Amino acid sequence: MNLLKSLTRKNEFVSSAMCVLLVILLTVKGEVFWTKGNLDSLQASIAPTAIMAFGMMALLVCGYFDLSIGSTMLLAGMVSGRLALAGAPIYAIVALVLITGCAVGCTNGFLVAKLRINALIATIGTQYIFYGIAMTQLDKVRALGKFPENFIMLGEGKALGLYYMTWVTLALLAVFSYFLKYTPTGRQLYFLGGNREAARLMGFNDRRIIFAAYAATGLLASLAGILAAARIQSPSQYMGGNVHMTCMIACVVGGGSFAGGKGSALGAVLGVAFMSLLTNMFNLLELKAQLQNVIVGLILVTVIVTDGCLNLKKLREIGRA
Amino acid sequence: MGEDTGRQLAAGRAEKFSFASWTIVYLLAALFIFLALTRNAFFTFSNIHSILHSVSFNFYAAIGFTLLIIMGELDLSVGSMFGFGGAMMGFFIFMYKLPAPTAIALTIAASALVGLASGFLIARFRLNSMMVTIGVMMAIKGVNWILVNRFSGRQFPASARRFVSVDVLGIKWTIILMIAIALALEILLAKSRHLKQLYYIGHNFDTTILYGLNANAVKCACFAISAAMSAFGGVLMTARLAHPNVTVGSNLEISIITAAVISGASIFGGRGSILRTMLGVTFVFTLQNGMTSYNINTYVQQIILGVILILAIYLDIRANSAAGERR
Repeated sequence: MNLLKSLTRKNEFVSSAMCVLLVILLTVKGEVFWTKGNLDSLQASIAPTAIMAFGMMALLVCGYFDLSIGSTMLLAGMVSGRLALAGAPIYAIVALVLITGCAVGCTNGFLVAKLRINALIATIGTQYIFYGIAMTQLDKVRALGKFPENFIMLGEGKALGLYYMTWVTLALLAVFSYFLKYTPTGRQLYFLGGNREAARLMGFNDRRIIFAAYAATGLLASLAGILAAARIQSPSQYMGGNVHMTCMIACVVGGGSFAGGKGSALGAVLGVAFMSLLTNMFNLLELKAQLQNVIVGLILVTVIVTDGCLNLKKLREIGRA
Repeated sequence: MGEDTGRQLAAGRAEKFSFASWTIVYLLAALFIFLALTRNAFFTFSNIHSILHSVSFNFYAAIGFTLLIIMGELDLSVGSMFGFGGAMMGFFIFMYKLPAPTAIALTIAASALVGLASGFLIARFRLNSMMVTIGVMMAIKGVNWILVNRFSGRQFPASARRFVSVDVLGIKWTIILMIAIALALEILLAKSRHLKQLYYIGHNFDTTILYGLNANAVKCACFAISAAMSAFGGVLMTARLAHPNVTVGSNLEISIITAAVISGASIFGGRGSILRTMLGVTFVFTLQNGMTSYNINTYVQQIILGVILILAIYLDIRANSAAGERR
């Protein structure tokens, strides 16, 4: 247990150190970094991604992942657009979109946990399906133009100088930290990710846990979709484009592992902060946007290789490879 | 039956020819008959010819993919390598003013290096190939954007355009090459000592290493082939379009996974055949052609393709568990 604890600390240390380095670099190089406008846009880019990263981290901990969260986010924006167009009151919009997101998550959970389809293939498939469904709504949603004022307040509103979405993120951080560390179900996720066969033999209902994790991920993705759509004030077709990649890289940078059994809620937030600071750096230092894709891809490969190396070392130590 | 070699070895019994593994033939035939009966313009020589012409480009990207899927590896970077072929060809032709053949040769060599690099990482560190190739996919996509934006709107010279649409015996040479490669590899996979190794590796990786096969080298080589052949397909496609384009090869990976799985390859490895992959690719692209001729929205087409992919994978899992394999 002590070893696990120190290891988690070390993993979070990496992401926080990288964040600090980027902040220092941006303070020195980019004059506008500490302005209010830039800090606001940083919040607005970190918060929705971090909300999704909690779900992704829970899945990574038990050794799964979800590539369809970007499409879920897009779908959430489109559905809230349709509902706003139909004149639904704001609480009905939020409730229905969250239900949609939960349904998307349950679909993924059904495919992966019940039908035992490989998580990557299943969620790539649903990614395409939900992207297609969302985009068929685009023409109808275009008529909306802008969301009603009280819906926009969800994304633009502030309390004590921070956006509502930042408060939501902080609240979820507290909830997920507690859930993963201290609740029996949270600990089961780690056991499941660490050794699935053993967890199954000990009588854990792995299918139910994985199903619930996927449902939660879909729910969080639609919540993030509402907040992001409210922030950009209209349903955009570009929402959620690369967000599944960003989330996955962020979680692994923040101490998660594709092999499962590792990770924490704080790590997820730190990883997302790192990714957002990186984007911010590209904007402030006026580097090419396309170059960002290259860098992110290379970071992903580096992260996978390091993760794989550590994993191989662990396997060799216990004599399994 | 080539694709059962690994399995026969493990089970110690010879399996008979089964019609079930050729489901793709029935599917393709049904699709052709349906479209021929309902659409007037479908069953003409020129339409079928042009469908097969674009199928052939995409089939080149599916060759390496099939070899890898036989070994239980997935290469999701095929789509971006397809685009990379076009972008690099543009790079060499516009920036260095190289003649077309040199440019194409250099493009393919560069792509093979990229494939070799990802293959090396995957084999050396035993990484999840899907994850690594997703990373490669993103990086290469970024490179494609940068390259294509630098020479947007410029056309290839005639020497770099004409060669794709040369006819041999009244048929485009790319179609003939496609069929030749499919037949040759199909026979080699069943008979050749070297290519049979792929099935053994896909069936039981650890045992093949104990028996002294250099499985890692084989994997590296196949990743290089996959990248190089995808780029080759991309070069041909771009030459047909006459200018590099960012959309070349986008979403290609999902079409190819669907094609491979629908034609009976298993994502768990040990099964798969080039000839049937060719039929699978033809099926997927004919389906897209048919849906377009019915004026179905592209986004709805995406939904349908996603559903087909998940169904095909589900049936694959059902077939595997019916065969008594626990995964």
